[in-house]
Order: sequence, then C-alpha cells, then structure tokens
Amino acid sequence: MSATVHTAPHPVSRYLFPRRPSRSRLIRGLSRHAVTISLLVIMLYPIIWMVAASLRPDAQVIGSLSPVPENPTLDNYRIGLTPSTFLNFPRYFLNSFLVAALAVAGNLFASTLTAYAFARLEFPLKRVLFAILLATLLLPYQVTLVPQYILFDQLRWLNTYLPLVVPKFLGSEAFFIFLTVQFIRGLPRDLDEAARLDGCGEWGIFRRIVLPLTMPAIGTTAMFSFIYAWNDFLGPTLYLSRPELYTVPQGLSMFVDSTGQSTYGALFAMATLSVAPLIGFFLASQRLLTQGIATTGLK
Amino acid sequence: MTRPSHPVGVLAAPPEPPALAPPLRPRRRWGGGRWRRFLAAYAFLTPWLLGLVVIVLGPMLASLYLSFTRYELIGPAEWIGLDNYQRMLFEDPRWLRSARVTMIYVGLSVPSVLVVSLLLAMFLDKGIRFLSLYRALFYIPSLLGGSVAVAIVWRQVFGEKGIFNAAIGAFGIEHGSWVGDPGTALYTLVVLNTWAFGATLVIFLAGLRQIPHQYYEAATIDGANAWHRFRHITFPYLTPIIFFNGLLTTVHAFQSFTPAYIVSAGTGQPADSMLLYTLYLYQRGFVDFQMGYASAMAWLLLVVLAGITGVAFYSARYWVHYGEDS
Amino acid sequence: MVSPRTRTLTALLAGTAALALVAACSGTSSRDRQDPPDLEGEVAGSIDYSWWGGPARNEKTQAVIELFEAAHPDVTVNGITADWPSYWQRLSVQAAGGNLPCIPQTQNRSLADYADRNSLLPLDDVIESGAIDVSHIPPDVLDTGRGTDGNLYMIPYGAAFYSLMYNETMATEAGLETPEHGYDWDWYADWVTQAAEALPDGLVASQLIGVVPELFQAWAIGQGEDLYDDSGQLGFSPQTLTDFWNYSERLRTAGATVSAEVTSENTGQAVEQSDLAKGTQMSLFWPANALASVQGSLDGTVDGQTLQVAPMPTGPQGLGNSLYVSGLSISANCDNVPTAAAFIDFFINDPEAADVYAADNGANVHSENLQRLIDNPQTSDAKRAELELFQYIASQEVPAVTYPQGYQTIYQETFARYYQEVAFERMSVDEAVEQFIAEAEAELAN
Repeated sequence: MSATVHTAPHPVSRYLFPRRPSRSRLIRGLSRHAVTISLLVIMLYPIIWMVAASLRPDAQVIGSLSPVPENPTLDNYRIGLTPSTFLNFPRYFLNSFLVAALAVAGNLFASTLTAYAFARLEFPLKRVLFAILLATLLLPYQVTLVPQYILFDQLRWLNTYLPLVVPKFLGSEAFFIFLTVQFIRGLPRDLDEAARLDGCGEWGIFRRIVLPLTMPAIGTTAMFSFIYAWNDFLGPTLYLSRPELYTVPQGLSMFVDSTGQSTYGALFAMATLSVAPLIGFFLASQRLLTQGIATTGLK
Repeated sequence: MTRPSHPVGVLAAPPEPPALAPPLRPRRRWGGGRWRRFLAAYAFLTPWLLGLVVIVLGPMLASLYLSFTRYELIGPAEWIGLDNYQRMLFEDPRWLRSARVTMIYVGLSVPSVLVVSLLLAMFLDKGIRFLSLYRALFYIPSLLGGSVAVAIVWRQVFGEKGIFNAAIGAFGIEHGSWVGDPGTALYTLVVLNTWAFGATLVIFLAGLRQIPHQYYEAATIDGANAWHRFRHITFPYLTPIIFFNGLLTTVHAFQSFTPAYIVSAGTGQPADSMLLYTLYLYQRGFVDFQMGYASAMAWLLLVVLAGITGVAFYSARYWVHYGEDS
Repeated sequence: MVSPRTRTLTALLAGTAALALVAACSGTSSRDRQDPPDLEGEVAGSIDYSWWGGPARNEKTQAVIELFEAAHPDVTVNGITADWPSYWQRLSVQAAGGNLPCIPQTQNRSLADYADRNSLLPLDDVIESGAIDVSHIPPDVLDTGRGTDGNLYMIPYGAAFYSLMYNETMATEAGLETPEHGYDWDWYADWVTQAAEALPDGLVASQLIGVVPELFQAWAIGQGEDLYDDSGQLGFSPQTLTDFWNYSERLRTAGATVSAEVTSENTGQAVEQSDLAKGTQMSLFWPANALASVQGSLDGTVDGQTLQVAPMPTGPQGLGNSLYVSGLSISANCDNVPTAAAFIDFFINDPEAADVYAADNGANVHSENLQRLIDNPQTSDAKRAELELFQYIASQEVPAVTYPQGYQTIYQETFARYYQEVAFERMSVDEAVEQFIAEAEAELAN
C-alpha cells in the first residue's frame, strides 16, 4: 500500500481538478447514479402512473401498471374540461388561480413588512413579539378554526373568497415571515446605515434598498404560498358552498363523489392538470428556491 | 469560520458595500429619532399585529371560552363547564380512537420522514453530478403531498386492484385492499406523509454542506469508520437541524387533514382506522356543528402539543449541540 | 419604559376581540334573517336546485330542468348534485351557514334535522296561495313531509323503497331458484349460500348485509319493530340487532358476500358502477327505482342478462318494507320563492316532466302520473316492474314512522361503523350492539 494520506473525496475538488476517473471510481459514480435514479423512479411513480392513466382510454385506466399508455388519447382531458351542470373545471382552475394569486400578494405584503421590522428595526417588546411569532409557527390551526369560522359567519364573509385571502394580508402564515426575517438578517447593514444617514426614511430604505435585495426570499415566499393556496382543501371546503366558487381541490373531491369507477380517466386528467402547474413553476425556478430555503433555515 | 463549499447562490450574496466615511456627528442615544423609529417599526408591524389579535389571539381565547359551552351555531352559547372535556376524555370512544390513531400516525411518520431524508441526504452529499436536478426531483412529492389529486391517486394505488398490489404481485405477493382494511389503512397515510419528505431533505442537505470537511479528513486519518464519523461528526453538527426539522414535522403531522379526508372518503373509515384528530374535529365541529365540543378538542390538542414542544426544548439541552461557527 | 403598559394594552386588545366575538355569537347570526317570504313576485331570475344521485339520474333531472326553462324563458335553474353520503354532509354545512340552495331535495328520514332547525320554509302558505298544487298527492303521503311542529316542509314527489335486485339469468344458469313474493330471510340465506358454491369463480352472490341500515330496518319491521318508536326513541330490541348482525356474519364468513375490505373501498359508489351492474354479482338490495338504469348499465357490459326485482324479505310480523319519501323543499334563506314554488309545482305535476323523469327517485306520489307511467307502453319493463311493486307494497300497509333528528348520524354513520368493527373482527357482535345502542341513545338525548 502506498503511504499517501487518504483524503475523503471533496465534492468541489472534482470539478476544480478533474482527472481521468479510475475504474472503481467510475463504477462507484455510476452505481450512485443508478441507485438515485431507481429511488427517484419509485418515488415519482404514483405521479408518472397518474399521468399515464389520464392518457389511457377510459376502460383501461385502472389496472394497468405501465408508465406508458398503450392507446394514448386526450379524450379524458376533453371530457373533464367540458363544463357540465355539475362540474366546471375550467371555472375551478380560474377560481384557484385567483385565490392563489391573492394569497401570494397577501403573503408578500405581510411577510416583507413584518420581516423588515424584526430584522432591521429596534422597538420595545421586540423580543416578546418575535417569540410570539415563533410560537405561532408551532400553533395547531385547529385551535383557531372554529372561532374563525364563526367570525367570518358574523361578518357575512361565508361563500366569498375573503376568509381565504384576507388573513394572508394580515400575516397569518408566519412561516414566510420567519423565512424572510432570517434572510434579511443575513444582508449587510451598511447600505441602510448609509441611507439613514442621508436622511432616508424607513419606508424609503425598505422600498429601495432592502426589498430589492430580498428577492430570493420573496421568490420563495411567492412560490410556496402559491402552492399552499392552490392545494388548500380544508379552507375552501369550510367556506365555499356555492359550486361556481369552488377551487380545483374541491372540484376533484366532488368528481370522486359524484361518479363511479368508469370515469376515473377524466378524474386523473383533471388531477394531472391540477399538479402540472405546480411542478412546472417549481422546476422552472428551482435554483432560486432551494437556495432560498437552504440559506435561511440555518442562521 | 468555514465557508460552505458550494456556491450558495449568487443572488443571495448582496454586493459589497462601498467604504464609508465615519458619521460627522455622533448620533444622540436618546433622540427624537428613536421614537420615530419605534413608530415606524410598529407601522410596519401593523398588518401582522392586527392579524395576531383578530385572527390568532382573539380566536384562541374565544375557542377556550367556547370549549366550556354548548354551541351549535344556532342560538346562544350555553355554559356547561367541564362537560365537554369530561365527555371527550371519559365518554367518547371515538375520541379515544382518534387520539390513538393520531399518535400512531405521528409516532410513525416523524421518525420515518427524518430517517429517510437524512439517509438520502447523506447519500447524495457524497458528491454526485446533477445533484441540484436530483434534489429538485426528490422535492416534487412534497409539493403535492397535501393535495387532493395525490390523495385520490393514493386511494387508487393502494386499493384492491391498485398498482401497488400489481407491483408486489410481480414478486408473488398477494394482498387485498390496503385502504379498505382497517389493519393497514393508516399505514398508507404514513407512507404518503413519508413520501413527501422533500423539504426536510433539502434542509438536511444544506446542513451537511456546512460541516467542515477537515473534520472528516482528520477522523479518517485517525482510523474512524463510517459509523464513527457519523456518530461523532455528522450527527452532532446536525442536531440543531434535526431538532428544527423534527419539531416542524411533528406539528405538521398533527395538523394533517386532506389525505385522511380523501383517502377515507371523509369518514375516517374503515372502522375509524383513518380517523385522525383533525378529521374527527372537523366532523364534530362542521358536520355535526357541535362547536363547543370541537373547541374543547382543539384546546386539548394545543395543550398536548405544547407539552411535547416543551419536553423537546428541555431535552434539547442534552443532545443538541449548537456549533461555535456560524 | 413603556413595556408594562404596552403589555397590558395588548392583553386588553386581545381580550376585547375575544369578548366581541363571544358577544356576537350570542346575538344574531346570518340565519336569523326573519324576513317573511315574498310570495308575490314574478317567476324569473335564477335558483339553485340540489339533489343526490348518480349520472343516470343527473341526466333525467337535467332534462326536467330544461323543460321548465323552456316554459319559463326568464328563469335559470342551476343544478347541483352529489352522491348520497356526501349530499347530506354538504347539506348540513350549508344549512348551518344559512347557504342552502333555494330548492334542497329532502327526504322524510332526514327532514327533522332541517325543519326543526328553521332551515326550511313552511310551505302551507305557499300551497294556500295556489303556487303549488298538491291535490293529486294522497294526504297521508303529503303528511310525510311535515315536521314535528306540524307544518309542511317538504312536497313529496317520489316514494322509494328497498328491494332485492337480482340477476335472474345468472341465478337460473347456476341452477338456483328465484325469490317469490313472501320469501323470508332464511330463504335468502340459503339462496346465497348455495349460490356461493354454484356460481363460477369471480362472481359473488350478495353484498355485505350488516352494514346497510335499510336492511336492518327491514329485518326489524319483519319482527314487528322499527328503527324508531312513536316517541322518537330507538324502536328495536338489542336482541333483534344482535340476531341481524350475527346473520350477516354467518353469510360473510361463508363467503356468500362481498368482503368487508372491498365494501369499504366502494363506499359512495354509484349503483350504475356496482358489481351487479357489471354482471359480477348476483343480488343487491337497493332502492327499486334504480332498476331501469342498472339494467341499462348491465346491458352495456354483458348481453342477455335480465334483472328482476322482488320486495324485501318478510319476517314473522309481515313484509319488511318501508317507504322512503323524497321531495322538494324551499330553504328559509331562499331569495326567489316564487320561482322556486313554480319549479316545484312543475316538477310534481307536469305530465311531460313526469314522463321524462320516469320515476327515477321512487314511484310518483302523484296518482295520475303514476298510472300514466304504468300504462305507457314505452315505459321499460324494469320500470314498470318497479312501479307495480310499489303498488303491491302500498297495498300491504307498510308502517309509517316519524323520524326524529339524527337519522343520518345514527344510522348512516354510527351503525355502519360498528358493523365494520364486527366485520373486520375487531369487536364481537354483542359488544358492537351494546356500544352502538349506547351511542345512539346518547345522540338522541342531545
């Protein structure tokens, strides 16, 4: 054996100093890829299967295991998207989009403002309030669910989108506030100090200096609050009982209820359409996202 | 302080600020500007504070009050003292069932999410090309885990004629419906929750990246094997993240609603095997409209969760090591 | 320092918010809008009408709606539908929110839950004003639409009843007899047990019996009991329920019925998608009004198999049938009562509508329309068989029972749940009976 010191492989070094991989290293690398890809395939299989099932003719939807549809057809999509008296998916998609967009706006509004205060400003009770913020992260929503429903009932907001959207503007999703606080804390203070000296007010500093630099956290917040709002099922189920207001999750649930085995094709088609935007947006912006999470969780 | 060895993100690193001249006049410590800043701060906080009072604290107190009443949305709330709690703890076999089901669900989900995502993070951290692509793909299930679409597919996948049975049938294993059998139905939900481990994976990956590599090198030189390296380097460094992840995963598991609702067709069946606490609370509160009882259930959950959190924080002293760097 | 004061202020704010909330709870709610219904007014605008059913019924209902809209061009009727269990869950949520559709379809078994909670409009005034003509409905049938306060809350339109639907072709090919009027539960047990042997693999003889509350009701009525007694308490003895569940268990363990797991997986399935409709099951107890559409589905899957319908089994005290009367109500929060009343009147009385709907949700209680359908040569054999069966059952003087609140909770949910425990062998029949009765009585007491 040689007397060389054996160093653990350093990830970066492989790119900085590429050398011809030895045989065993190649095999190890390939097998690592193989294992990872197999795991991925198994994990993503339910989704792959769902997409494939949605492209199969109705009679063959259930029962086939294969990821490749034998007689691909877009019939299910056509049927699912055709509004009938009972189901109107194009409407539901619009509704979901509206609610999700408003939720994003609300979360961005609340989280940037609140995070700026916690990350950059001093004020009495700051520590107490921050502790309260953290505590709300651990608070189960069940404990506010019933009175919130009663409150919205009293306000005559039932059967509108208001109960789903207004709380976001008031910072109801503390996770995004927390995320943004951690991020802003990581920004150097020199720029705002300079601006303050120049007489710039807090709002100016916020708007012109901090906000532009917070884009990664804003992107993360926007992405995730869109996803949460899009997938939200309990909220719409509680507050919306007129079908023309329904969101996509409710539409899917109604679809399962009101039909039997043989229309699973259309159901899977609509289910695929309901997850496609999420996956699409996510993959398109994933670099921004995962950095946002990774850097903010640990400070 | 060690820098992370991979580019954290060009956008995350703000540009170098210009060199500054010192201020010409020292700022007064207790000046009028300070008050203005306090006001400004509270102005920024107004939306959140408003929400805190009206949407969080107010309802919390209201539900505490309601938990001592009988309230069915029609007519006034009638004070009945501890009756709801008594009924819940001593007279309601369904409540006991839902508590037990939830404890099993949380008790199985949380460790499996943590273990699976940690193992995978460690595996991926060894260095692999296309890491960011793999990471993104592994993340996808967690985007969809709480969705109705996936729950519907899950119900099919684990049904009697579902693809899971078809897959294991290829190995000669036969089984009936997994979601129709009360002995196995809950486990399909646990699997679903574990399947959506993407977020914890990403956080573990980031945490592993922060561990200084010279420690590993030194340990290897000293002859430590993989297990030793894990136990004495990786694990201690990760304990804050394990703690953070564990707590969030636990809270999230206690709040799980949509999968249980869809997979059990809204009822928690078969035989209440999927009657998670949230689902039972929903049934009692919003289907039967026994809102006082549902509020009592919610507060009990809060107390239990606060207890678990308290114990976790207390125990953290003994096993969570906050690193000296960063 | 400001902290103690600010702290107190925060606490005060939170407390005030809470108090305001609580005070509001004890006051009015959106349900208490007590404007008297506006009976004057034109038939115009739009109304929502909700019903339960599967795809076949949805089509027929839609056809009736279109007929009405053709006759009243200024009117739009929005149809909303769901399957049986979901329908009631949703309705109760809407009732509590004061958001019921203008015309919720209701049934005598669940009427009390809504009528007693002031969610429905009393209809006596509407009838007096002539907006709805009920002269062709027999008075005792009309009475099934009354609440506990004696007011009329539901205009009945269809009387449904459980029946035994069976695949005659499958039975005779397997060398089995077919049920005749007056058969009893023992005969049924023998029949399906023999069928379990005689039928080829892949075919099942019967559904899981013990989980269906209507079957228990038939059993109890055959013993001279019922689900409720006259005072609104449970009307059956523990022994009756024990015998019933033991009966079901015998059949299940003998392999004559569908398994518990598959039954649970198929909850809420439309009958047109059931195994009977797919030609893989021999018999199914189900409301007879589905016979025609199930036959239609069956014909689409396999050739030449005929379904027949028989009444429920008899017991020592007589025929075990009872009538489930469905009808249309007007919600208390409806803002377009004249149009709703006009639609109900149309649905009940219009002959063309009756022909198109073809008694899909029970035999017409409108005596003339019923006879029209029976006499109409275009009515399918299956439908005629059902209507004539209805006449037979009506002639047997089946008991009418007033259902108090809680039918859904007690029988649709709790009853099924306890039997599931038994069927999955997690509880003995005796334990399940005891606990079910305890829970049902607690529910009734609330």
